Amino acid sequence: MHKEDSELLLEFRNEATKENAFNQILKKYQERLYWHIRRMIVSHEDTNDVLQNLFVKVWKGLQNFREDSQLYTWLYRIATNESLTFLEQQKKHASVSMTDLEDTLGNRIKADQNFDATRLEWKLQLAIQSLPERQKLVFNLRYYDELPYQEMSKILETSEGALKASYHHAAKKVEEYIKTH
Amino acid sequence: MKEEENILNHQNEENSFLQGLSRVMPYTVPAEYFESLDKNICNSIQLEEETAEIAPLLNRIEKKMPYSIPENYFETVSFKSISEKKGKVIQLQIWKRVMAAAVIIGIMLTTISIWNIQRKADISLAIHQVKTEDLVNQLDTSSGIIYTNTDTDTDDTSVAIEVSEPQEDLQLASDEDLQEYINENIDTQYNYNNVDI
Repeated sequence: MHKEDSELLLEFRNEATKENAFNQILKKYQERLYWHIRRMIVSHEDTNDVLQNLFVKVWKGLQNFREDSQLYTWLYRIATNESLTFLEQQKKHASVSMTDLEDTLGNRIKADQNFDATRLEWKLQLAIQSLPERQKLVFNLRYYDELPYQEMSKILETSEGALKASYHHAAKKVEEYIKTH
Repeated sequence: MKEEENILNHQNEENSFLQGLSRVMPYTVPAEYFESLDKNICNSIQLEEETAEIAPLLNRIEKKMPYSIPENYFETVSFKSISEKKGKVIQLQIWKRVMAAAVIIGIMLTTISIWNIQRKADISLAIHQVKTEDLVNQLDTSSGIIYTNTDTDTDDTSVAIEVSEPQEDLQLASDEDLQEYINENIDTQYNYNNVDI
């Protein structure tokens, strides 16, 4: 049973209970954040690295977290930024275009030991990777994390209307991809 | 009749025991669970309807992520594991910086060595290119000794040396003063016996 965020934050601000509170925050959110990152990056090793960097940043920044947004909104925002920065760095390092990166991510999916091209879950993953980055984010947050548009708006700093339109386009494209592949 | 009495007594005992217990459920639920429950249910229904309208196929796909992850991965992630790993990364970064500094210093030292060798070669070449007359003229202006090439018709570079007149202060000195000067400096100064004038 996880403690409430407000209680954990209070414990984090106390030096004596800081490390324990941080561990509890980590345990509470790591799985959701892991999948949020992995849906963007695909590789487990890269996701693990980004997740660890994220928690290092959380450790450093949580002291100054002002609670004017919910903790998980703040964590999701950092996770999103870290994932996008990672993908940007990959593009720069390999000097690849966005289309090449999509192919790379698609190949990573196919390289998974459980990959089965006939199964809809895998086709769905390939379809998601064919989306532009922004649409991919919106689709994942809405479809998998089931976040309300209001929360997504805080994470992605975009209007609810724009997010609804983005999800609409993304879902259409995904379905079309699955039907044609 | 007696049996009925026993049952009634037993029931009364049980009731009095239960009446002493609290009726509050011992289970815990997350704070504000009931406040947010309706919102969460509404959101799920809205999402399903929305997706059914746009892309009905998606509602038939299982939402569980199919990717493989190492066994017990989430159990192994902790503050300790992160700080240990990131500590190593930081150490590695410091080591990389030291290596980079060593490489830069190595390149600089090699460049300086090459430049020095090149410079010495240039000086040597320049000396070989200087004419003997220029060297003689240069020495002539900086000492009391006059060097002259006795054979101007040939390319012979050997020179005859003439000693110029002693300087005025030496001319004015008496023999005794000179002898005294030689005696004082004979050990530390030039050995005149080896010079053919």
